Amino acid sequence: MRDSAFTLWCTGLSGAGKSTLCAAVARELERRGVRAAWLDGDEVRRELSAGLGFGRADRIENARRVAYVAHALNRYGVPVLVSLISPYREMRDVARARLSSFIEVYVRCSLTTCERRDPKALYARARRGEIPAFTGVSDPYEEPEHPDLVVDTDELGPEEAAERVVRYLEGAGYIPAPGMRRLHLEVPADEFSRLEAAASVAGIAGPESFVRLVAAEAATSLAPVGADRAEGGAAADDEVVLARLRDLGYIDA
Amino acid sequence: MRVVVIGLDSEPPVLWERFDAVLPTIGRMRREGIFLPLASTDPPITVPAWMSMLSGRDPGELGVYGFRNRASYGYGALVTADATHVRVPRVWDVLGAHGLKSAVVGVPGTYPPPPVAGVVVSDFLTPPGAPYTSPPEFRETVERVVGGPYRFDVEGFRSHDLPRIRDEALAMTERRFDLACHLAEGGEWDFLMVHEIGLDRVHHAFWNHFDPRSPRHVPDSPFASVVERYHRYLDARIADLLARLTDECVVFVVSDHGSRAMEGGVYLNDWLREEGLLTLRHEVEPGTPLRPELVDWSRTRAWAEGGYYGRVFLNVAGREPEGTVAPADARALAERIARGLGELRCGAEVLVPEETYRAVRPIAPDLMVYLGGLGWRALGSVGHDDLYALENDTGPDGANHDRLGVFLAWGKGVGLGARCSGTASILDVASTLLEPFGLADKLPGEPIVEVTDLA
Repeated sequence: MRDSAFTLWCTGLSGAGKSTLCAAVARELERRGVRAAWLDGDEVRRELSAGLGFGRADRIENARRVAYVAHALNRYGVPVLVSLISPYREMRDVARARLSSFIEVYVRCSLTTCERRDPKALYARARRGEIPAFTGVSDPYEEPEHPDLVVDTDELGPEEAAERVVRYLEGAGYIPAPGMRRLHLEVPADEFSRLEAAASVAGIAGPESFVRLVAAEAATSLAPVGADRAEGGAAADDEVVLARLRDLGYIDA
Repeated sequence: MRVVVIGLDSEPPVLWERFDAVLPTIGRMRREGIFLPLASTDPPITVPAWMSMLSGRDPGELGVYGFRNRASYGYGALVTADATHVRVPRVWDVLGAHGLKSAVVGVPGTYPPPPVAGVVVSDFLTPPGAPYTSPPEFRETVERVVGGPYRFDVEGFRSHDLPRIRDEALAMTERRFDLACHLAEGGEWDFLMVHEIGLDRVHHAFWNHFDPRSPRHVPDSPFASVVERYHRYLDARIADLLARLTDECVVFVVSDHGSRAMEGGVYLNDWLREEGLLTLRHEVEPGTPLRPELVDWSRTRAWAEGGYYGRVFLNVAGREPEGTVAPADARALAERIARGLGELRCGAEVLVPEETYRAVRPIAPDLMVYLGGLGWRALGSVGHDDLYALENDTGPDGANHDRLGVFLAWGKGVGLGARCSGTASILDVASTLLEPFGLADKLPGEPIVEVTDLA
């Protein structure tokens, strides 16, 4: 498992579309063979932080707990999507300090739109004074100063917003490119060691060096792999690599 | 009084300026403490620079001129400089002799892990599977804290697989700072030093993705923000570390040298061939490494080693096995080579070890060459039609080393040293680190800052 286990931290007002965005992104990742964990603010409040309130200190503690769980998942190769209002910069700073591959996504949406959507009728209750310290109404939302990505859901529909996030992730190499799928393989340990040593000699490094070596061998025997991608050759190339993997017993026939 | 040192490999002052808006911790430390550019060693190369920084001895006194050094006057391979090559006391040795404990993590020149009063985790040159802690049983603590195997370096960082390099660098740094934070809280030390090599790897891999002045700049690269992102993470982890320290700590952030865009390279051995000073036994393919068996030593007067800087060796009669240059002619030949290199399109600065160092321990190169103000790489391979290259010959690389690193001192009672102004010297860092303990005179150098104990 490579180290590209990022945490995509979606911050924004209640009703901005954080959960909708994460759900759509998770579906697309699944299509590419990337299984991500999703930590949603409502569920976290129920399962992990039930005893915490909504004062500043408790909200920061909540973010610290979410960051801790994300960190534990990331460390062992699991990408994490977080949908959490996280209104204070300090909350996101706590997460940034904990998570080496922290991607801050500002899900921007005007308060007017959020209030109009109000899917949980929270704004209405807040306006009636039934919810103290409600973000955007009676408590501040501190906008990210340097987010990695801004997704404006006043302008973008859910699928467009998800596409923008996915494009960011694939451009930066966190997830496979379109048409590619990540494989998780079980391989014979002795064959892995042999190929890893061969890959080391060939200067191909990394935990997946055996696959890289096989791909490199396939590339040289079929040179040049990729030259015909523009004409739709990607699938054919992938088939060659897969055939090699089958020959070597790494995947089932 | 306790001292904490955060070593950031290859950090130049310019990047702290460039990323100031997203580095709140470093920014605060710069405003509250004392920040100076730090002049590196000649050469500004990781291994000799850190060894010099922590001993107060220059590379000539140490006899360490690069990652790899000549072990004899033969033509064979160079040997890698490691902890056994440091035969002078370093900061932790002085502290140990005075009953003070150190915790040292990843500092270049600490493999094999030397016996230290305290604990050591060895550096990025640690071979796979080798013992890497002192005492040996400290390894269990390390692996428990980092949640598995400890990571020394980014594997194969001269690669086109940029996502992997980015992710491995960050994952490695995360674990290193987890360990540093654990040690900071543990409290069993008077001197805590952690060195991070990830920054150097990120600079090499991604510099040309953000710097439009790089000749190989990649416009609109999806990796344009990696160097900034890495800095933001470092800044957050430094804040994390500071939060675990008590008021009695003085914190230093230092780097061994700076970085800059790599502008190109010069095939030094091909240049020597053109000058009639190096003869091969037969023609070779472009990019062939210069191996001793390729060289007709009876018709060779000089050869070179490549790297961030160039090293030229003269084939001196009575010194090298098949020497051709009479000792009396060596100086004139060195001057001729220096003049010729100066006429290269990128320009060159040529240093003579005997004129550069306080002492010259064997085995020094005869000449040290900085090409294009260090913007150009010295390339050692042979067989090329053109002397100049845009790419490195040992794998993709966007950055070269630069002379100026960073020096930052932060903590209660820190004030500028009596003799310091402008740029600090790396050779004064060792005595500076000992100054809070009243031991500054135990190693060469003048303290850059002085610390008044306000307790």
